[in-house]
Amino acid sequence: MSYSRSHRPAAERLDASRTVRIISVKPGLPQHIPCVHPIPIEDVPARVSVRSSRGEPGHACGRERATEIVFLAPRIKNVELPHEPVVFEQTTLQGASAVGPAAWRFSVVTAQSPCATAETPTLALVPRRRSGGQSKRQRYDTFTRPMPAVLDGTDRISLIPHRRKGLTPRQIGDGEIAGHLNEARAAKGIIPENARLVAVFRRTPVELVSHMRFDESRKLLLFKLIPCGDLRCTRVYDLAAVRDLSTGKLHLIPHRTRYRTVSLS
Amino acid sequence: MVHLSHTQVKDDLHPADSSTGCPSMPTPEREVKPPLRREVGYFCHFVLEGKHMGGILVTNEIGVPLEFKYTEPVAMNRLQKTLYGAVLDRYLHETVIRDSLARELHSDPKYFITGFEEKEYLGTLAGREMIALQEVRSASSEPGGSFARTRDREAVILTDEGPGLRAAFSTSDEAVQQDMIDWLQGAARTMDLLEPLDRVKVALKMLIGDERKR
Repeated sequence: MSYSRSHRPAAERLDASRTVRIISVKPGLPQHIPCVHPIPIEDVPARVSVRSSRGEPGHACGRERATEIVFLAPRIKNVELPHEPVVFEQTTLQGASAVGPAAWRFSVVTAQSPCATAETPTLALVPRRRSGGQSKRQRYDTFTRPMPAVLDGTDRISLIPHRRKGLTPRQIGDGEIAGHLNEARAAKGIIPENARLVAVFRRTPVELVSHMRFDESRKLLLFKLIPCGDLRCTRVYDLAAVRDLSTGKLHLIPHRTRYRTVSLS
Repeated sequence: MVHLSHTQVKDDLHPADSSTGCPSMPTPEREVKPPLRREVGYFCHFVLEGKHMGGILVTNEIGVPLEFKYTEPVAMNRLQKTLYGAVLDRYLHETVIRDSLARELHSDPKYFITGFEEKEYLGTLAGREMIALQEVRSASSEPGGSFARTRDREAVILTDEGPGLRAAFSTSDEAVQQDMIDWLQGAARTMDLLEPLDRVKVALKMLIGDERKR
């Protein structure tokens, strides 16, 4: 959907005297402007909030996947990408010449505009020039969804414990039940007549477990693993939760022969 | 992995440098097999209070996270909902969330697993096919087989000693589907295939909570 320039809301109107154009480093462009740290154009969100050199908040908009970004703000100072600040060495200024190049370093604060909200409804309206360059009668697309920033959370998810749902004795065969009870006798000295199989957990990497908790009511096993690091292989065991009826104590016992060796990536 | 086979190739040419010192001795055929990729990819799209978030988790063969990427929450306003209409959900799932995540992914799992509720939006993620999975209690297979095709793109898969899995594939190519089934059955031998999806959901809930606190 698009509309002519004169019909666009006042807040979104491109004012030539307040427009700064940054051209990315790309061979073959007529205006080749070197950057200190050239950034891929995909990394710059379509719509950003900016601060002027006087610290005033402003709004800016940019074109996605284009060769240039057009910002709307009177005095923009720095460009700041999500994690590392990027400073442009030079920029061009269209329509105004009172401000020197030193004042035209940009600050793009992406965290301030993750999405349009009730307070900032105009963030949804991102004017975008149509491709093909209609110079005489310039038209603008009214709506472009800015792509959300993608963040790394590997460390965060590593803290979340693994959750394994146990199989009840009904779900496994009699032979396997007898096998687990025999293992309980061999490992803990529990007489099979005094033992009750509570649950069996398949494919549990017992050798790498650092913390373990068993929720008997939900038959759930929660465990955390140590970092695999340089480990090339490990074994995943069938782990049985066996209750000793004489003492009432619960034991978690891996079956010595029911395992698989896994070579790790 | 380099695999040396003991079979000799008929009319094998002698090595140019004759480094073996015996020019008449035929060199054994060297067969290079591609390395087995057992990394498992997971994709999760999560909506909470109108905010959409997506996460990609890549784990090793036992479910240890190797890489986890997530998007910032995205909310749509009334104007956007009106403008996009019926295609809004698809646009959000496929273009805004999934493609953004795919661009940032460094690992290269063979396939991506997602929840069965995502089956309407299956496609390729970072050039890899996707499988929507759901656990089924009673699963039956074709005679002599380990899976049963239920529809053009759906099947019920049996795993070794594990639960049955209902799977929807992103492709209708039967050869690729068969490869996906083999891959799933191989991965299910060493890990619980669906458990990491729960972890991704927990992580996204946690992160959206952190976002709210800010």
